Amino acid sequence: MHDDLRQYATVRTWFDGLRQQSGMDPEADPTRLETLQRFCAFVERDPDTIVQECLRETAAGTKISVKGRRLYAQKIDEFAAQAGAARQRAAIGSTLRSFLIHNGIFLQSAPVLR
Amino acid sequence: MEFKEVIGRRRSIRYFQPWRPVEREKVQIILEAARIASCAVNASYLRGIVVEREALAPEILESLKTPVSGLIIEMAPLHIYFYGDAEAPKRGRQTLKQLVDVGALNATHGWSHKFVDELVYPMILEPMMKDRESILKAVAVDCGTAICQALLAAFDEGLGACLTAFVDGPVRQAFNVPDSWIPMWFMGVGYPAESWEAGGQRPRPPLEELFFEGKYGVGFRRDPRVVEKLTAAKMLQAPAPLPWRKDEVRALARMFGLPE
Repeated sequence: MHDDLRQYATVRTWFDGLRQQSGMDPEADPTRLETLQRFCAFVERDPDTIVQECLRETAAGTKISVKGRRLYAQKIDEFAAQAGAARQRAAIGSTLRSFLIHNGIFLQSAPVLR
Repeated sequence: MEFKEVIGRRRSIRYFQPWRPVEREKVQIILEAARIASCAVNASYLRGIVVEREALAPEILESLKTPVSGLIIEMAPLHIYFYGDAEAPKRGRQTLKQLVDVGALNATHGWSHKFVDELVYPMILEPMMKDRESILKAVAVDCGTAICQALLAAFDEGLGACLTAFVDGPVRQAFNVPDSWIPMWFMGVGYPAESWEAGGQRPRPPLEELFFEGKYGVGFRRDPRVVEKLTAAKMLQAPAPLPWRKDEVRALARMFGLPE
């Protein structure tokens, strides 16, 4: 795996999405990439492979793999659960879901109400 | 609120104040508005199951979520699961004669009890009820009309709402829905957590591409003076995206711990 995650196409897509859709500078918060880096180590996959495993090829074209998406949603929850407070867990989960969402993997999470 | 402004303010609200319940009085107002909507043969096709999110067991709430609607189901304090009753046209004979009796359908227009009993019901309504496609069309159109009135009533009460699809199976099981009911839309209702503008009025195709004068191909000519009048009446509003929308969405994401 590359040390600099920006070398992965999916990370560049994520950052482009954050700039264009969310109107923010993704580089302004270095914890974003750090969180993804630690998650990649946790699941032993690089970012491009994670996104690829959330997709499947069919005769009609590329579709979301429900199984893959479910697996990574679960892995995100497991990874985030290692953090302490609810807000911190939510922040970690949101960062990772943001990566998948901006790569076209539709995901929703429950809001943190406390 | 004036009617035109209600129409102008109506837009899909996707961020709710989950902690704030909707007053029962307002729920009734929404349902009353739906109840008196126009409906074919006055048969009242729309049905609904009203549920307070807080009253749902966590596992039931979870079962109701779809990938696209999960967050709205989680955030909206009030749920209305709208269905259409495929059996409604069966009441057509009775409801049409009722309309004759109350002076809505008159001899001036050719209506009589005999006409209903001997022609309309056996020749039109009964065959229609045997054709699934005709039933679905009638039910869907009239439910749409009624749901629209419900939606506008919600906004007139200062609430926000969003229509979305729902998975029939879990809803049917959870709320004891009759077999003859056809799923229509889920309406999430609550007090908006986002601004009422919700980023601005959402884009639509030009009027002249949707509506035509005299024949298809001659677009309905849009008069700018009417546009000005509707803008003053707040039916036509500042288009999305408003300049601060991205900042607002980021703030909402942080408030609710959601992805950006």
